[in-house]
Amino acid sequence: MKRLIIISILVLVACSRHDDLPPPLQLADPPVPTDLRVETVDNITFLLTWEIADTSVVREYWIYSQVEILPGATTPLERIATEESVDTTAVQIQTDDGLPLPGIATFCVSSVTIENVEGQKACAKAE
Amino acid sequence: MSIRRTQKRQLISSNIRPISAWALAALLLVLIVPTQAFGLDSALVRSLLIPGLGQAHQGHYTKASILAGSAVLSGFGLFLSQVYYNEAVTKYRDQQRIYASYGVALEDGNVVSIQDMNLTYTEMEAQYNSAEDRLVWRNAFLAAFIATYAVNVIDVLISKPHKIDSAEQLSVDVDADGFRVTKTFRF
Repeated sequence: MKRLIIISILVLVACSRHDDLPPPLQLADPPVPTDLRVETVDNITFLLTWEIADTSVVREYWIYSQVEILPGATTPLERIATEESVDTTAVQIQTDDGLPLPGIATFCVSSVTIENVEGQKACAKAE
Repeated sequence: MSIRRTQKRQLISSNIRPISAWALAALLLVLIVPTQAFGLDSALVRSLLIPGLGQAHQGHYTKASILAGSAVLSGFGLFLSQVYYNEAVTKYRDQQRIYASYGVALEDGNVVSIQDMNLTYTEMEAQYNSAEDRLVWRNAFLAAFIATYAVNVIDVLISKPHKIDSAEQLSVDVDADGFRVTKTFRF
């Protein structure tokens, strides 16, 4: 009996197994801004407007910009502003130096929930 | 080069653990099983150390070859499958750590992108499935190795040593045309 126990323990040690797959974190899905429009007011000022389905879980909005200097050559997407008023769906952005010429600006907006989760970005080019 | 050497060392050490466990099990079996069992102590001890060796000692060369070959194949398969399984588990645990770090970041008040989290979870799930598939192979080879070993031990316990009749070994037939000498080999 003792021999059987010793051998069984050794067999179990040899037959190690990986952990089970953990469940995904239970977090509210961040709503994605829809119908994003970017209106060029002047070379340094842009008006962003969007729609949002559910603001109950939203804490703030993050606004990004990217400039296409040449076809296929773009600057990295950078966060340029934070809008903390969750009911606001229209924001006027003023860039520091203005767009390089020729340059097409793309703006993106994402929502950040009260659980600190950033949702998918909605992007649109300046008109 | 140093990172690769470290990874290689870790891979080998993680594989030596199960092999060491088996070697220790074999050694304990040799030490604790009475060597006088059924009066076949020498053959039993040989079979416990190396499958097929006891059968060869008893003169059953065919069985010895089959058992030894089976042990080598299943043992080699077990080693390889264990290496691949450990590789998959390492990748799975890496993704698990990354995913867990998102939970910690959120608890610390840092913002985490849902896209990054979902991508990591998808990758973790893929590595988990890969580990599960490789585990099936590892367990199959392990079962084959255990079965070979068990058959080897049971066979040596119940088999009697092969007694070669001296009359069968060599015979001479004489007829009008000449004579024929026959030597018999048994396997």
